[in-house]
Amino acid sequence: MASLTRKSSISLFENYRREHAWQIREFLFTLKLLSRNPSAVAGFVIIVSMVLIALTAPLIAPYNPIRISLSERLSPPSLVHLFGTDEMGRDILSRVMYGARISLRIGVLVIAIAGGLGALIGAVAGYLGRQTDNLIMRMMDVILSFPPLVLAMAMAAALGPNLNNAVIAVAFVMIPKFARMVRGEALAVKEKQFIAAARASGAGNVWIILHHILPNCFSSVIVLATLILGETILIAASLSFIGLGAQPPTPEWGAMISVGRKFLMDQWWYPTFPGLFILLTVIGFNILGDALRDILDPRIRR
Amino acid sequence: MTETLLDISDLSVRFFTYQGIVRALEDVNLTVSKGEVLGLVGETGCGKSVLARSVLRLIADPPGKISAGKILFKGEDILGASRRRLRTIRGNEISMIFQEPMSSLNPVFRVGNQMMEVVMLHQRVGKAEARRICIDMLNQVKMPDPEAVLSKYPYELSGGMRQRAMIAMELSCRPELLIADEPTTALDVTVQAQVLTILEELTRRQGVSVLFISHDLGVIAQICERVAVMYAGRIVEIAPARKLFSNPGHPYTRGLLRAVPLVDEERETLNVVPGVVPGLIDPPRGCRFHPRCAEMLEACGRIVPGPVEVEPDHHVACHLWGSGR
Amino acid sequence: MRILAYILKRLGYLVPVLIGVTLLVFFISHAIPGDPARMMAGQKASRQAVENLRRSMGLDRPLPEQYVRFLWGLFHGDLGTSIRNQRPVLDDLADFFPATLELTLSSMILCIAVGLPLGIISAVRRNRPVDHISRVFSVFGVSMPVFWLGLMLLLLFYRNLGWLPGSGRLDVAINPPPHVTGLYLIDSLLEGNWSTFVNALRHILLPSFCLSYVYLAIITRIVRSSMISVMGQDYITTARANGLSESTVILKHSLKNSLIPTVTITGLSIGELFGGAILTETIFNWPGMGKYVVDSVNFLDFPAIMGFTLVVSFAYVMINLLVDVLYGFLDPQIQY
Repeated sequence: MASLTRKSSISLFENYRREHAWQIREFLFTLKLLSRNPSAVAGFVIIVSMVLIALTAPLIAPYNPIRISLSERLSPPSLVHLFGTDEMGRDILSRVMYGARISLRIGVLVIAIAGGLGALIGAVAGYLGRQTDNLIMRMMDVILSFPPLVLAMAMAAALGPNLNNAVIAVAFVMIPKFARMVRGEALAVKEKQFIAAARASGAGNVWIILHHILPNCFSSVIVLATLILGETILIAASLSFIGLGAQPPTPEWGAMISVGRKFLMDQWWYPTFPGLFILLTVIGFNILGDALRDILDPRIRR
Repeated sequence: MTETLLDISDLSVRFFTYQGIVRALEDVNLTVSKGEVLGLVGETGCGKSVLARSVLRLIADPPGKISAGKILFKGEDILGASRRRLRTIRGNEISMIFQEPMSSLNPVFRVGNQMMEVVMLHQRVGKAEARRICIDMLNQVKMPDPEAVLSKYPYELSGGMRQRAMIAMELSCRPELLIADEPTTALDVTVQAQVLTILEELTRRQGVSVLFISHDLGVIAQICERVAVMYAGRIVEIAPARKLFSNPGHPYTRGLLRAVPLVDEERETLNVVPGVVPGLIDPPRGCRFHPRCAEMLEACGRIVPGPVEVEPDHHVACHLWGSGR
Repeated sequence: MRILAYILKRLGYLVPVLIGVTLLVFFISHAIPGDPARMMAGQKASRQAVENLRRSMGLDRPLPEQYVRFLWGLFHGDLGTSIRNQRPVLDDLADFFPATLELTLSSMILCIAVGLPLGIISAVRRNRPVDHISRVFSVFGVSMPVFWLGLMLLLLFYRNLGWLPGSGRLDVAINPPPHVTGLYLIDSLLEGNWSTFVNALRHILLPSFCLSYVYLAIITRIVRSSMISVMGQDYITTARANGLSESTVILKHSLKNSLIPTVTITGLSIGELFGGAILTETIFNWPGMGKYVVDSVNFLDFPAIMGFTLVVSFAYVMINLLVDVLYGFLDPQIQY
C-alpha cells in the first residue's frame, strides 16, 4: 500500500512539475509579447510611475501634505506650488502624491480580497457543480443585479463612512466578477485528465481545488485583476467624492475633488489635478489590461 | 473556335503579413472558353481559392494585393474596371459559389430575402417578379417546396439544401461564368452526388462556363472537360481530363493520381507524396515542387520551368519535358 | 404567444434573484451601526419615545419577522419613511424620478446616435486615423471619473466660454411647463412653448454628455469589435460576390448581425447609467433621484438610501429581462 501511494504521489508531482515548466515558458513568452506592444508598454510605464510616486511620496513630495499655511491659501500653480494650494494653504502636488498611496493601496486591497475570495468561491462552484454551483451563482447574480456604485454606496453608508469600510464595500461588489470567471475556468479544467488522476489517488476536494484548479486560473485572474483595478479606483474615488470612504482632510483624490468642487470657478486647479491623476492611473491599468487580454487570447498567440 | 471567356495571364498575388510576404500566386496563366467546364485541382493551401477570388477582385486589401498580371473577361479588363462596373459583373455576369454552405448565407435574413435581393439588384424587376424567378430557380435545383424555403432562415435548411439554394441564387441572373470553389467538399458523400448532378445539369442547360475548384480528383473527373493542376501557387499542368488522367506529365500529378487507392487494390499503406507543402513566404527556388520530387534534375532548384506542350492541348511545367516558355 | 411563455419563464428565474436582492438590502440596512429608532426619533427624544418608536417600527421583533414585514411593506409600495423630511421614501423617489428619466433617456439617445455610427466608421476604416482617434477616445471614456469630467465641462462651457448654464433643469426665472410626462423637453413641446424647450435643452446638454461619455466609449468599442468580427464572415464575402454595394453590405448585412452584442451591452449600460447619474446629478445640481440619494447619504438618511437602492436594482433587473427578450427578436435562431 505504501509503495503504491508513493508511486502515485511522485507521478502527481511530476505532473505538477510538467505543468509548471510549461507555465513558466508561457509566462516568459507573454512578457516578450507585452514588451513589443506599444500600449502595453505605455500602460506599464504609467502604472510604474504611479507606484513609484506612491512609494516614494514621503521622500519626494515638496511639502508635508497636511502642512497648513493660511497665508498661501488658494494660490494658483506657481514655481513654489506646482499644482497650487488648497483652502488651508496645503500644497496640492504633495497631497496628490500622497493620494496615490491611498488609491493604489485601496486598489490592491480590494483586488486581493475580491480576487482571493471570488476565485475561491468560483472554483468551489465550478468544481463541485450542480446544486452548489447553482446556489452560489444565484447569489452572485443577486450582487450583480445592482449597479456597482449603487451597491457599494449602500454598503459603505451602512457600515460607516471611512476608508476601511469603503474597501470592504467595493471588494464585495467585485467578488462576483472574479467568481464568474474562475467558475468558468474551473468547469473546463475539472474535465481534464490530471484531475481524474488526482482523485483516483485519493486527493480530497479541498486539495484539488487549491492545488490544481486555482493555479490553472491564475493567468486569467491576473488579466481580470488588471482590468478591474481601474474600475476599482474609480468607484473608490466616487465613494469618497460622495462623502463615504476617505474623509477630508485625508488627501485622497476623490475627497479632494469633493472639497475642491466648491472652488471650481475661481480656483480651477484645485479639483483639476487630483482628477487628472485618477484619469491617468485608470488609463494605465485599462490599456495594460486590454493589451494583456489581447495577448493572452489563444487565437492571437502563435 | 470557341471564344475565350476568361483569360488570366501572369497573375501574381501577394499577402503582406507580420511574418513576411506570402507569395500566394505566381505567374498563373489560365483560360476558360465559352461553355466549357474547367477543373482546378490541388491540395489545401495551393492557392486555388485565392485564384478564384482574384477573378472577382474579392481579395481583401490589406493584406492581399494583386501584384502583377491581367484578367480579361470577354476581352474586358477586370483588374482595371471601375467599382461600379465590377458590381454589375459580380453575381450577374460572373457568379461564385463557396465551400461552406453553413456560413455562406446571412443567418439573420430569410433565404428568400437574400435571393430576391440579388435578382432585384441585377434584373431591375419588382418583388413579385423576383419572387417568381427565385421559385423557378429553386425548382430547377430540385428544391422541395420552394415557397416554404423562401420564407425560411438558413439555419432551418440542411447543408445540401443550402448549397442548392446558393446555386439557385448564383445562377438566377444567368451569368456566363460560374466559379465554384469546392462546392461539395463540406457535404456528405450522398448529398455531394446530388448537388454535383444538379450543378452539371443546370450549367449545361444554361450554357454557363464553369471554373470548378476542388481537391477531390474523383469529383473533378466526373464533371470537368479540362483540368488544371496547381501546386504552391503555380499551375503545373493543364490538359483535357481524359489525357490528364491517362497520361499525367508532371511528377506531382502522377503522385496525386497514385495516391488515390483503388477499390480492388490490396494495400497496407497509402501511396503518399513524400514531404509537406512548402510555406509560401519563402518558397523553394526554381520549381516549387523540386524538394519533394523523386525525378528532380539539377535545373529544378534554380530555374522555374515554363509550360511545354507535350501533346496537343496538354501543357506541363516541368524540366523533364524541357524548359518551355 | 410563445414570447409570453418565455417572459414568464424568465420572470420565474428572476423571482429568486429579486428576493435575494431584497434580502441583501435588508441585511445591509441592518448592518447600520447605531440605533435606527433613535436616529428616527432624533437626539433629543426621550427614552420612552424612542422605545415607542422602536416598537411601532417593529425593531424589537426577531429578524426573520422583520424581514417578512419588510417584504410585506414592499408589496404595498412602502419603502420606509425618510428621516430627513418624514415623507414616504416612495413619494420622494416618485417626485425626483422624471428628472432622472429625462437625463438617462437623453444620454442613451446620445450614446446610440453617436456611438453606433462612430463604431461602424471605426470598423470600416480600421487602423486608419479615424479608428485610432476613436480608440483613444474609448480608452479615455472608460477611464474617466464622471464627476471630474462634469467639473471640467463646467469649467470650459460654463465658466470660460459661457455658452451653457451650469446647474438645474431650467433658468430660475422660467416656470416649468405643465406636467404631462414630467420630462421638460417633451412637456414644453406639448405646450408649444419654444423658449422653455430651448432653455431646457441648454440645461440638459452638459449633464447628458457627461453621463453618456463613458457608455459612448463602451458602445463604440462594442460596435467596432462586433462589426469587425461580422465583416470577416463568409456571408459577407457572398454578399460582395453578388455585386451588392458596399453600403448595403455594411448597413444591411453586417449591421444586423452585430446588433446582438450591441443591444446587450446597451441594455446593461442603461442600468449602469443610474450609477453614473448619481455623480452627474450632483455635479450639475440636477434634481433627480441621484442627487436625492447623495443628499440622503450626507444626512445618513438610511431609509432613503435603501429605498433608492432597491428601486434601482429592480429597474436594472427588469431592463435586463427586456434586453433578453429583444435579443430574441434580433437573432432568429433563438427558440422561445
